[in-house]
Amino acid sequence: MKPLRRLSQETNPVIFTALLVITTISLIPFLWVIANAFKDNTEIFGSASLLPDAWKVENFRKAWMGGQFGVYFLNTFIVALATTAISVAVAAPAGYAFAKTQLRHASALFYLYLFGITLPIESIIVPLFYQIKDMGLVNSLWGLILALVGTGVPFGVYLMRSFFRDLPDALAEAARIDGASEWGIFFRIMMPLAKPGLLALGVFSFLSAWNEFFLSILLLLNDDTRTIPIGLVQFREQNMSDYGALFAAITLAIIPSILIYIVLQRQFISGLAAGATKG
Amino acid sequence: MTMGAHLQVPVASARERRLTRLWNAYHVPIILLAPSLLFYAVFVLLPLGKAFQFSLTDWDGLAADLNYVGVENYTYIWTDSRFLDSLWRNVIWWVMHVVLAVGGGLVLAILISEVGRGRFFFRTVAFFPHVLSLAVVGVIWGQLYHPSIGLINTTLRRTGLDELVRVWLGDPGLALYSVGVASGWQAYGFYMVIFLAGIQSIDPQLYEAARVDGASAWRRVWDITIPSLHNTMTVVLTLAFISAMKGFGTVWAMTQGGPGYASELVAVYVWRSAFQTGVIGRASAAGLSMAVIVIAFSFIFNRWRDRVGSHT
Repeated sequence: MKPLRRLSQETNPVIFTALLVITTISLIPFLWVIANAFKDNTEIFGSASLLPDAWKVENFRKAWMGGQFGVYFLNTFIVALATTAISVAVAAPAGYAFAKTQLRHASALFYLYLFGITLPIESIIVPLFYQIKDMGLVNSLWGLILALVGTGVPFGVYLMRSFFRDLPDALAEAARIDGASEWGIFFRIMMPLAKPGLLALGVFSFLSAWNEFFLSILLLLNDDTRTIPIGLVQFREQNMSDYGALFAAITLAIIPSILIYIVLQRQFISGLAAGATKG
Repeated sequence: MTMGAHLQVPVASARERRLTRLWNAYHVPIILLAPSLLFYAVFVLLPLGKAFQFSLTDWDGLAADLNYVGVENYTYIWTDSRFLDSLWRNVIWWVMHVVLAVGGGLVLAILISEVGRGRFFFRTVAFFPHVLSLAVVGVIWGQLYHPSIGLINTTLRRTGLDELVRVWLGDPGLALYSVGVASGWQAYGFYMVIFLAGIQSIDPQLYEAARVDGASAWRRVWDITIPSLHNTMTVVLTLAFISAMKGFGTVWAMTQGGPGYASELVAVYVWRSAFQTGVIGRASAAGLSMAVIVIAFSFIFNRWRDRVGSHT
């Protein structure tokens, strides 16, 4: 994303203070959870102070051991990485086909994809579950990965089409005159040029898959297939009264999402914005 | 007979030639498109067809054969007060979503675009809640609302507002609103980013002209920023409607639709009917009804906004 443009030359102290207050309020849940992760139960019940007396790490040990968070992290990483790789590999060629080949006039087919963006998967969850069950992929990370790719394809194709459409035709024309094949134009000229778009879709797919909850609760039922979101909900069911350990588990679940976002935020935000504003 | 056989040869080869010609012209886009279409067909279109099929049966998820019952499931749900109540809750959910998430996102986007220094920092930090999984959001807010250790009730007790202490998620009159606030917290960052992108694409000369005229920040927002966001607003309101109609994750992680049916949205109704009660046909009919509402609204609303937009 382009650097945010300045609308006013001077920093407005009233607006600055208002933003500081609003963002602080919005961050309170994070601060409260993290602070409580370092407290024991007596302190969580008794103490009025937000900060813990001493920064105890006992809760994190309990959460990590009791909840198999190591396995959850690995599973989440596999799901997010595989979903991202397959989604980009499937959506980029299709987006190119709609943007730059003779198919660009096949608007009926493109409307079928647009329909898929609007259709909530919540409305087809029942047959989708039985279908994945028939394929023998319940309780397998692959069932979740393939379903995430399939339900994400319409948006991915739409996003890639927008990115490819913005690329100039002149380069492809020049290559065609030089005798390049259609495949050569796609792989050697257009794909490298579309890198920002590929990255945007990749980062978007990665974070969505990392956080996926709706299909995961249906499909991942074993301890060794759970991802972080499912694992955390499960951990809460089993540790209802060990508040400190639960807060530590929540903290463990928050950290990777925030880190991934901070590292990849430019691509992520530009993907979001492009998805919503490009025609 | 001989004549027929004689004629068939050129006909077949003509068709073959036509196919060859089409293949030569279109094989590149077809091959590029095929994988996406395969995934889309298997995981969306086929289940959509099956949803329609299931919705005409009384299948329980186990029986070997499907028993067709016509439109019985549709007449059942559309006269079932539990389903209609869940639909009404989606309307409440939608209003909360528009006020808290869309409204909050718009206010933050305008403030960030006007602040001068610190734009990038505020955008980054204000977006934090949106990068969490709905499961994580649900678990966090479940603790914030906790009757004894939750931040909300402990703060109320410490500030002497004991009479405001509530069982936020256990009170049927409050559960839906409590979860709605958590959901708004998670969602506003998304709309903020889209509004910010919309503000970025407004012609800078408009602001330049306003500056020359000595317009205040307030006037700049009312006369330039808000009217220029017409198309962005259309997109945002469409997305907000879709998102509100399919609301599920936060509710599931916090109350599972309870207490009783107090926070049951349509998607939760579909889920519970299918996977807890085992009335697959009814669940499919409810799911498809939701899909029709979402798609019809998106289509009509966008047509209307385009017409309004072209007049201004």
